[in-house]
Amino acid sequence: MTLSEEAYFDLETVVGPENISQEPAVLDSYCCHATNGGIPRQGLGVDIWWKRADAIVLPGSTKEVQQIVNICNHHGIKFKAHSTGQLPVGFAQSKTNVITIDLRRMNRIIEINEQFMYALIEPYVTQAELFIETIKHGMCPNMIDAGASISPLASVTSVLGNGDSSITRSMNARNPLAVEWVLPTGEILRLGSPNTPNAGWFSGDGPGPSLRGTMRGGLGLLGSRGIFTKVAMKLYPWHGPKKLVTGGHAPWWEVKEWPLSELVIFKWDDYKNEADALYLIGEAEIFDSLGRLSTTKFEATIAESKGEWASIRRWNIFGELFPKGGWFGQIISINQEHLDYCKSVLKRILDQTDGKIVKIEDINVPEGTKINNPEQFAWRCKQIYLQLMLFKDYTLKVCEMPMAGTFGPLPAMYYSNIDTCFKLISKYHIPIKSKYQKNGTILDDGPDGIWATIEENGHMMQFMNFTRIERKDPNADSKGLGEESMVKAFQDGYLPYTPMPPIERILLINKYQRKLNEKLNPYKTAERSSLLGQGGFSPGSGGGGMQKMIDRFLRGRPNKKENKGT
Amino acid sequence: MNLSKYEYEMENCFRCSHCKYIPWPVLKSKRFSQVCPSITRYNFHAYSASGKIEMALALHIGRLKEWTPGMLKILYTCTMCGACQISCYPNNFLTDVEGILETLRQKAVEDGVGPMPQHNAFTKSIKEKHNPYNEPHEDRSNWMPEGIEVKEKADLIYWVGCTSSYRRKEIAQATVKVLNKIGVDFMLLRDDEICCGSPVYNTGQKELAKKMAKDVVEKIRKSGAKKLLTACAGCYAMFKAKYPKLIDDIPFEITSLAEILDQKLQDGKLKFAKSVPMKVTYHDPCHMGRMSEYIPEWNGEWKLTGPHIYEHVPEKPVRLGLGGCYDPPRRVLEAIPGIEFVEMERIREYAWCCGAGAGCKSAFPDFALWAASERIEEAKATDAEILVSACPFCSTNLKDAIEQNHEKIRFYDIAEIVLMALESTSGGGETK
Ligand SMILES: Cc1cc2nc3c(=O)[nH]c(=O)nc-3n(C[C@H](O)[C@H](O)[C@H](O)COP(=O)(O)OP(=O)(O)OC[C@H]3O[C@@H](n4cnc5c(N)ncnc54)[C@H](O)[C@@H]3O)c2cc1C
Ligand code: SF4
Ligand code: SF4
Repeated sequence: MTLSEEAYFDLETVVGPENISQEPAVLDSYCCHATNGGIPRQGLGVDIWWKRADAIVLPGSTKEVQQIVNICNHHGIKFKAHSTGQLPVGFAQSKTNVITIDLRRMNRIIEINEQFMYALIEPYVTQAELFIETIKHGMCPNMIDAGASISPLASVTSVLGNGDSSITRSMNARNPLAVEWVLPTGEILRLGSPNTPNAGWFSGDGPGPSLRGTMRGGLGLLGSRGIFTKVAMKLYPWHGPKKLVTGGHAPWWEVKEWPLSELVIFKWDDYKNEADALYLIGEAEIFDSLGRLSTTKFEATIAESKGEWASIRRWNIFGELFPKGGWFGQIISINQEHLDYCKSVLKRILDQTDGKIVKIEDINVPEGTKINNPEQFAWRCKQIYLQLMLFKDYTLKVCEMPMAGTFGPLPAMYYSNIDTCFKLISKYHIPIKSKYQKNGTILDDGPDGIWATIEENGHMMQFMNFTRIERKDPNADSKGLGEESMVKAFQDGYLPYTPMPPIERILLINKYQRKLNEKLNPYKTAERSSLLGQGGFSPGSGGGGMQKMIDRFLRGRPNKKENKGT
Repeated sequence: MNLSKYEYEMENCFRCSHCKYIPWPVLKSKRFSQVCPSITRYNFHAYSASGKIEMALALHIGRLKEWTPGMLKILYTCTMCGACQISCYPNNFLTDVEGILETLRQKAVEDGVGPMPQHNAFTKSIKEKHNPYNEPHEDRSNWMPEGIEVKEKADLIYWVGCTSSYRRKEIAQATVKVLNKIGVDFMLLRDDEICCGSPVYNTGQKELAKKMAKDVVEKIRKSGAKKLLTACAGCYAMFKAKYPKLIDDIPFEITSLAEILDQKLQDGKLKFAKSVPMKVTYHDPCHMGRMSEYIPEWNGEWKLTGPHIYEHVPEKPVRLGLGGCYDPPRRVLEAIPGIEFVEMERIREYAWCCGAGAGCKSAFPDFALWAASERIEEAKATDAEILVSACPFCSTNLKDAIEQNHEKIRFYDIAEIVLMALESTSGGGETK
């Protein structure tokens, strides 16, 4: 513990004794994350535990956040913002003199503005809460696939931001409007309109300063530039019911489908056809939400216990049904004519590209499940995918269950045009993953575990290839897979998590971002972001990990011919 | 108590925070989205189920070397309501949240640090006077009103419970009056009745609870009863869900007043004559609901059953709250003429706990009252005039909150409401 008594006293004076803690068990609950045990199996070898912060503070207002930042600057303490804390980088990770600022007490939906279509929210509003409140007004936010409990504020200001609904509601880089930001210097900056009298929070770009790029860039800067305390999040039209009719029982809750909505599952046997069709689907603007499906995803979501999952896995029907993945999309229509139109357009695209509709009703009931009739099984599948589409329930089952799921071969999570994504899938993901599946170091549930989303009905796609590994298996080791794919990808100039190869461009961005950091974080108190304690995640987030990775692999210079970027 | 058997599960909490909220698919509003009283009140992640799992793991692996008062506060400001289990499991079927929380309490007792001093005080009272309220045992039957017909021998025994005997006498009184009015014969243990052991079990004192369970079952066995009726949710869950884990043979069935009334309604043998014109909502006591489901002790093991397939063999049973008593009290209330029944948002297996359970009312009374006030707010949001429940302990806590906050809403136990519907000037309820 390195925090001075004086610093603790100052912090306590701001938040009150109830809202600051140095209790070891409290500190430990902010430095443990099972996800750490999964992703680093790509070779980073990180434990689920890391060093405790020196204190956890729970501010209740922007003013308190500002005072805390000022105290940190005064005493030279690092700080890290934490919203719902689903992502391990949301925690303080420095070894000494650092606090975690948990924003849980700041959890209000301050305004839902129908005229300008935004919701003004605080950090600890969850996306399921925001969804359920905004649909009452006929609007909805982009719902990222991370799960129902995550913070939309964290997503729009600081981390990635994609999900199945991004096809209509964009990536969250595009969804923050006006923002309230406590800079690492302790100043409060309001981006966009709120400082103009009576203008409200409708715009992030003015009247007033527009610094959206500086605030988060494409992928988010993970808390390394201070603390966002309010954001006006852009909302989109919602044509579904204003109140969902729900019921059922754990573990299969029920959301009643409504007449003008349709869930469709479809697939191709060939990536070229799939890519061509996705461009057409985007242009046709027929889906509310669209996400990619794989054996891994299907098996994890429809199981209701680990034992059930194991039976379904052994049965492997989904491996046979989706050897090259598939997609599930939700059409939400404004009237019957529109619904019919969307369905017939989809049929036409599938006909043109050799795609096929998969009817859930035609799938055999998996062996070893508690269900013994096709109707019940179809109901279960529909519910799972409907709830995944609506408020991202069951996402954790996909990502983390029924064992640690890694992101698979690098570039692990890629964000580019549809053609480039499929090129990478064919070139790295499928062959490398197959090799390691064959040698038993990772689970063999087929090489295509690709999860993907499409953005703004356009040409951009984001994907990752889920790779399952059971650490209790003595052969478990994703280091080989991680290293081989990392070397290959780097040699060809690709980086994980970035939309913009080649490396030269990333280096430039990093340089520019570093300069910004120097200006915005002059006392270096805003804790840099760190991927799983190792440093680095996205360019400019201040972590050293990315830079180290780049330096390490610069020995194998990028092959410029291969890589055209986006 | 050994946490080893949960090691894999403890390492697999993904910090998704689902355990803090009601299951998302049934969410209706942000205002009533929270389900865990502990994290909602204290805010540090450590107070959530996930935080307590991390604390258990840290203790287990020696990262946390010894218990501190702060850790005991985290542990015992949990009402063991089981809501986190229902929200977690559908998303993470690796984590037996409830098993870990229960084992952690038992470990605290074994390590000599638990339970809390207030719990030790009621345990002493239970040992000496057979009730946690430090009341003389000889006063146990003082609640009995005049003119009640109690059989010397009957198939049904009414188990009153400590809280109804000493603190919420009106519930015991209404229960026996209702039984008389609907023509159900019953007997009583009277002064032979002792504490069922629920407060002891739920504060981690498993061995003592086991001993008490044996004594209780023996007394009931001797009485010759085939069925035990209790109007106390705490006793109900103890008999139904915990006793089978503590002793092998329970030679009687367990039922509640709501179930008896419901059965009569279903069979067409009961009709309420008097109108009770009230807007009513119902609070599911955790111990009538999700916690009354019996989940057998699992003695299997985690096994690698194939490449990268690690599973529990045999399959581990988990609590999903499906076996709770949810519909009978609702059907009974809806059958009463004049009652307009409205639901709160957090109900059935994802109901918000009143805050009293597992020793919170005695060790952390402010926390318990705060949780009850939160429930009252939810009841008020339905515009109900009456909040009904079926648990004397919930009743105490909810009534305390109503009184403290000077609320207009009134609280009745289901037995009291039913009695109103039966006590008509025209001769009460019709029974056939
Ligand atoms: C299993 C899993 C699946 C995921 N899937 C997706 C996905 O499909 N799409 C996607 O976009 N993302 C995904 N993510 C990442 C996801 O974006 C984050 O989990 C989520 O957006 C962050 O919300 P949170 O409340 O959990 O943030 P936290 O974990 O609390 O924080 C995340 C980061 O944002 C910073 N931060 C949080 N709040 C603030 C604030 N108020 N001011 C400044 N910085 C802040 C933190 O310091 C941290 O660096 C996934 C993560 C996991 C673990
Ligand atoms: S206990 Fe369950 S619900 Fe809670 S954070 Fe852990 S995995 Fe998620
Ligand atoms: S048992 Fe209840 S109070 Fe305890 S952690 Fe779970 S939800 Fe919270």
